[in-house]
Amino acid sequence: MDKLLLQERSQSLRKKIFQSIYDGNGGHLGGSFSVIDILNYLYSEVLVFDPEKPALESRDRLILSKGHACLALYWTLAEFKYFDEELISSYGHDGSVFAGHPEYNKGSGIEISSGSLGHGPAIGVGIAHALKLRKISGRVFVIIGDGESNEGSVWEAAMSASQLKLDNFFIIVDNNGMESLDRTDNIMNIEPIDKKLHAFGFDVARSNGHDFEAIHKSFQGLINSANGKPKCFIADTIKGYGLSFTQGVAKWHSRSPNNDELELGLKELSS
Amino acid sequence: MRTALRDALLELKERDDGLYLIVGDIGFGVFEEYEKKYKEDYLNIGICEANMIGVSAGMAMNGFTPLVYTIVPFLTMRCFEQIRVDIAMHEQKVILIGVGGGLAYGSLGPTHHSFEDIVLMSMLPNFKVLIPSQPNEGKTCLELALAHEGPSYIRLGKNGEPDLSESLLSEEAGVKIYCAQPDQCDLLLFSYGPITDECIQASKILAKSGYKISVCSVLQVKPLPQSIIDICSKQENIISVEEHSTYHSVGSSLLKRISEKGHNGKFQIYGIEDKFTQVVGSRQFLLEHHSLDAKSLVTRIKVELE
Repeated sequence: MDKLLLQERSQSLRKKIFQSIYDGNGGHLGGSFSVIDILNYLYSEVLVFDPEKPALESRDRLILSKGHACLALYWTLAEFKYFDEELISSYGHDGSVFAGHPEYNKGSGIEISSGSLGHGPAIGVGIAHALKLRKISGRVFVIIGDGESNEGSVWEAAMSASQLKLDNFFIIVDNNGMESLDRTDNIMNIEPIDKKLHAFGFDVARSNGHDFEAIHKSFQGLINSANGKPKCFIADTIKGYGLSFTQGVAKWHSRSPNNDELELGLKELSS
Repeated sequence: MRTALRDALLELKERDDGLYLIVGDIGFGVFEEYEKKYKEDYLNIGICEANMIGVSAGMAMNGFTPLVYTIVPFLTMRCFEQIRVDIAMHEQKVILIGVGGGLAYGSLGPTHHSFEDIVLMSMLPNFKVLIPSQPNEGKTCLELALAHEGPSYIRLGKNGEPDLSESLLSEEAGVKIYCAQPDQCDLLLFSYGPITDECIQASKILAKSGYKISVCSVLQVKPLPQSIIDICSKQENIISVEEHSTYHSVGSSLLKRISEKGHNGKFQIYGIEDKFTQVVGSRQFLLEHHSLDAKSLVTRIKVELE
């Protein structure tokens, strides 16, 4: 793993996301910035994929269940050559194929339409189960938010993943500690999330979700164990991470920068 | 009806090894043979309907044709948004099979009744909705669902539904005609599902008083076959008899289609009015409660025709 390369890539992706939110006059900055390091790491170091063959049966499937962080997915997919990044400039404008939540099939590499929370895990279980039955090697990585785990359907899917012995199924929690209006522990406390998923039958690893060495170490422990148990990585992250004035600030859940903030942000992300 | 569908599934499974049955811990005494024969292609996923729908969509994305079976309200209403997003929006070929449609689970109480399911499933783009009137139509339903590229919903009764072949006069392009031909009748009853039997019984009773009542039933309620639209467009007096809410029923769709063709006759919908069925009893008892049994239909139709 080239830590420096990953850090530079994340910085560049954050800058592009920030600019898109300004240009498109909307988007979910907080969740996009908290999840981008995880997405970057997965596409850089873990996932088996070929942008030339997006429908390859043996590919790993990445499902961004917390679909409001779509800009993080769009820019990551463009970074890894699924489509020309010029296309994303239509985001936020009439007639764009890039909606405010991902739509499957619109850009290759987007596995499912998400946006309504709590759907990704069950669809992911179905995919992982089908792949196992058909003896295809692909794995399924479903990224959910901590707020999303308020949804009961997440836990139904977790029980099924365990029951079906899906060791090709991964849940990744972007645990940024905040929901739309308030801190997660003030709304519906999900902790101890690692112990909960462990009790549901998962192999669990937990670390800082912005520290590539820590993420890498967690994945090394999870990734190669065909032990019949689904896997979970809890990424402890910070909402809006990467910009001094957006980090941990609730209003940046879905706010667009004004002209001054744009200038300030781009300057900070370029330094 | 459910055992007839099970038998059809066993037969069709021999030809299509992509079929995969998921049940929501429902189906005691129904699927044991299937489970024994096709252990690898059977899953009792437990009591988790939202999850069951998502899992079926994920499997359909990867080479399987899932058939998902449980009781109608849990299948279609509890997880309506999962059906909308995971199956319909992703255009996946999943076959939802609901048991106990309408008032079939009469004495189990209103949580187990369904009079909203058909409109809900019909509203979803590209969904095919199929409702057998009698056991021998189960196989046709499955075949139609399998031939359709998108998702389907099959609404079953429960069991013990009679075979209606004895009263069948003719059949054309998806419409079965019972008791009297539409071009020779005083009034046409449009129906689908097991309540067709009540319509036929009512027609036979009314025939003794000299009334000619044609009963036309369809198996595919969405999209409606063109033949039923053609037949009904020419009718002066139509009553749609349904084990479903009268608000936005199949009759409403039929009325829209025939109105577009210039129909200006009388059209009524007899169904479940705007209330839950909070009396306890068998399906037959509850049909009487809603004035939808054969005897009540006779009374209502006589008032209509006199």
